[in-house]
Amino acid sequence: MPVEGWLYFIVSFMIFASIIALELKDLLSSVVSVGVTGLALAVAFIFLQAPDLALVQFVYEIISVIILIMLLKATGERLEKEKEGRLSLSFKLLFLVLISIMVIPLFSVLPEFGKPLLDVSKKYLANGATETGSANLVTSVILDYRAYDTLGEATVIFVSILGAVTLLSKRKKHEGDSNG
Amino acid sequence: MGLYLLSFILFLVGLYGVLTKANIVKIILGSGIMGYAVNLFLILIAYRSGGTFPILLPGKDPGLMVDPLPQALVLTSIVIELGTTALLVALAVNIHKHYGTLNVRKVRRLKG
Amino acid sequence: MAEKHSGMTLIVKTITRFTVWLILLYGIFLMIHGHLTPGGGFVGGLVVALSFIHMKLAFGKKGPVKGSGKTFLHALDSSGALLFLGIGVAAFFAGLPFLSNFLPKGKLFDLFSAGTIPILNFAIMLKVGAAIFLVFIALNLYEHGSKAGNSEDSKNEKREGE
Repeated sequence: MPVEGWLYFIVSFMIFASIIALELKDLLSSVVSVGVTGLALAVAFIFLQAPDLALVQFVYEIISVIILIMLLKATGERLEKEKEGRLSLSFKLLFLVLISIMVIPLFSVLPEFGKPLLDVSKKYLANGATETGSANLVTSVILDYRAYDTLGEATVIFVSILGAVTLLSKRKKHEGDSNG
Repeated sequence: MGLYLLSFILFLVGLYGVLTKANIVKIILGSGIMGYAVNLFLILIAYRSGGTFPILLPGKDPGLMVDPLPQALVLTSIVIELGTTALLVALAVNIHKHYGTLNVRKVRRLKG
Repeated sequence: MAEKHSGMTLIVKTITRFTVWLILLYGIFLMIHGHLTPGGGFVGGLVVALSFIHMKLAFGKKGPVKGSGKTFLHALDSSGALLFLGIGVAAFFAGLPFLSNFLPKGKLFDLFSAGTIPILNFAIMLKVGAAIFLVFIALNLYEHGSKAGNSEDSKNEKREGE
């Protein structure tokens, strides 16, 4: 089977698994379903010839499932008990249909699958090994040609993890006035 | 073009989860699914028919290689999503501590 | 009763003593060979953090190695960021713009080649690994701390509530 056939199968499986994940009542089962979706995405990355990304997606999925299960354990909730009104649900579905009607005609501008535009990457592919000295061209793009973006990403991780640790630390007064 | 449409449908499923669900765990799952759809779309753009992975191996002529620039962007994006999910989980734990429920429709008071 | 139930069963604890070293070694291998094979600083940092999470999940509170305090992890995180910025500023002394690759490039496919890329990989591994393990420890301490009431937030001496 060619690559396109496998990709159609994997993306349809992901859509199916994510619809199931959002409609189940048991919270633990929905977390596991989203985990299955992420692992299917890692397999899709292997078919699209991106081994770096398959490794990162695999490990990110495991850590995300661990953190979500710890959330469930810290709050003690197990079942979804909330219901949704009929009128507001139909309004929101109408909104989603409107978005898809507006966006789908734009997809005809994109190039055909398998023939990318490759304007900037021709230079990276031709000169990458000799100018930077690394055999992994993706690493040479992140850490030599676009090192400033990696610095920005390190800053974003730093700030978001700092915020999460501050929210989870113990406060002196339990209720009452909010901090700064 | 069919593959691009399928990845857009996956994005719409995630958006449905964020808009309609009232439980905060389902909202976090929906935002994760939107992230998967966007990363998949970026890598679908970069694929080249008959190409191979963009890594030079000793003693082998590379030939055609796929585009390495969107792969670098998506690598950064996946790791940033980890920090965002951690922050959302910390928020959800604090909401449960203050209000006793995970329903976002009942979170009304602005102070305290 | 709280002493016997720390962590998982005996089978998991015995296997963990072997697998945690393999996972740590794999993470460091992925980081060091970042410019030769698929990998790099991001995957290396995540896998090293996963090895520490694995040990903490299997052993619970009374592990064979005392768990790191939050201050040490904050120091690791910040030193990774400072190393990255330091390499960037050091390019000024060579007369090149910020964050240029100013060290000698070496031969292709060598281990010590590619200029500043291995040092930046090491800085990213420190930063990402320390950050993810810090989030895990903060969630773990939160869940145990809320049961014990108003105790001091520290790494040991926390009795399990009721």
